[in-house]
Amino acid sequence: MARELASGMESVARFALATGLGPLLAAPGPLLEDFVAAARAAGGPIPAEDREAAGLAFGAAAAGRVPVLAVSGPGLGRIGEVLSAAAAAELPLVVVAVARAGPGNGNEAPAQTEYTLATRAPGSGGARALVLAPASAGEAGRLVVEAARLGRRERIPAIVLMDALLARAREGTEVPGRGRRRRPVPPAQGPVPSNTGAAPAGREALETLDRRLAGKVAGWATLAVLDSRDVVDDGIVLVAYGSAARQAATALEKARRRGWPVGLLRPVTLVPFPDREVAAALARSRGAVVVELASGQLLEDVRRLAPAGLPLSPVIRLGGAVPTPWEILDAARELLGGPP
Amino acid sequence: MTEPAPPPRHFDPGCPHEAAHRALLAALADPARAARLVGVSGSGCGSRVSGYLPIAWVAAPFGRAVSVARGLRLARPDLVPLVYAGDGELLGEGAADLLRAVEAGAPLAVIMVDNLGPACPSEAGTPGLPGAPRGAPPAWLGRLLPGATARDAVRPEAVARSVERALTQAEQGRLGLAWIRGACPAAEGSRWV
Repeated sequence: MARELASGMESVARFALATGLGPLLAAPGPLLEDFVAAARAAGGPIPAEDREAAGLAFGAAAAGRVPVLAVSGPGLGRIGEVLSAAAAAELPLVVVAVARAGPGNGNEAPAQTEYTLATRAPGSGGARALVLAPASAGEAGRLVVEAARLGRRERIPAIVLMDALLARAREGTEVPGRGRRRRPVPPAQGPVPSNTGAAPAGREALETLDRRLAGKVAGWATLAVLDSRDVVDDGIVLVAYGSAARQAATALEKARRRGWPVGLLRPVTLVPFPDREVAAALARSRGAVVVELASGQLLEDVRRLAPAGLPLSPVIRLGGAVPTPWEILDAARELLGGPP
Repeated sequence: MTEPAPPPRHFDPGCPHEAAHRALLAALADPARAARLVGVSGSGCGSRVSGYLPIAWVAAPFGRAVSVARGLRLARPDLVPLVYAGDGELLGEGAADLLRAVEAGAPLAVIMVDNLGPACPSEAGTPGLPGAPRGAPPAWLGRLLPGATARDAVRPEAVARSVERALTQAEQGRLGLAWIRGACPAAEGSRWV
């Protein structure tokens, strides 16, 4: 591993290539430049649009590879049918989704507007997927590898959810070196399983399949990962993921220097959401500040887990804006009753 | 003694799929050739092909059969993908995917069964809605694939030659298209889908 300046998308591409994942597939777009450049350098096709890229990914997955498909903004919605088909066919594939401000085309500034789509209905027909949320460029690469591992194990697509800040900003991080020889990908071989993706014949067979697929989600609770820092009894918890969590982490440092009882909960897995751990921390607290770059999508999950009557203070910025640590600190101060 | 139930059938007598299946069965008579092929079926009546032909089949999401086939080839360059789909899949929802595959010269065999319906039929096998053009090839397809000509399902020899040519072209690393045309005999669409 080398410590270099790398963006989240570059980190994703280099970790993927170094660990034998692929092909890398993405239609060109401003948020995906580093990934597309890596895909081109790796000799892969550059699809013209998201649905074509998703089709390529489905085919590669059917043949035994674990492709990494990158989309941005409305692209996650566009590929919903293919994600659903992949979930039904029990094919592992990794989707790196970079949210855009929205709704609509939005802009290319940081946003976390795809939370509800990714966690509740990434595909039609009730399809679900694992969802992981990095908070740094390096973690983005590592979580793509983890997403592939979990996707293979559970035989389901996995989404790595990012925002434009993580996707494009370069930061010093540990990534597989450019000059490192890629691990040779053992060629997929053997017969392609027949009837991959075919719906079972008959209503009863389809219900049996659908129940089995739905039952997978229930078994994911043990896979939940939460990054918890400085949570104390009767304190305030900051809840955030991705880039919002980095701002919250800075606010946490400032709060701790002031001696405030403030902690941070950063879900690393959004599906499965760390329900038990977050509920336990909320139950011990006197309030929570929920920080997100969306209009209350994460807030819904926090509200679901919070005890009745617990004060929840949302710090929400939209349209590509990012809350400052001072905004978060102000919200925490208010919940604490206004310490100096 | 009770006779066993007949196997399910999905295609009415006279269906153009019948002509396509016969041609493919003949072309796949060589087991070595069949072993190198992997089928990708589209949506609609064509999605039932997997029970009729002796190769592995992958069922693609609607409109994505061609891209799925290209993805299969990407992961398994040793295999020759065979796309089997109707005109709704290939000229409607999947038109862009087919266009890009043609532009890229992707090594695929594409068997298109055209039931003379609109390019994106509302139901599998539904013939053309009133006023819809019948049988006219899309201009872009004719320009990208000069010589792309529909073969009527009622001329099995022409269909067989077209299918064989498409498979051979794919095996040689090019895109081959066999376009088989025939009216849906069920009028309202297959009762079996």
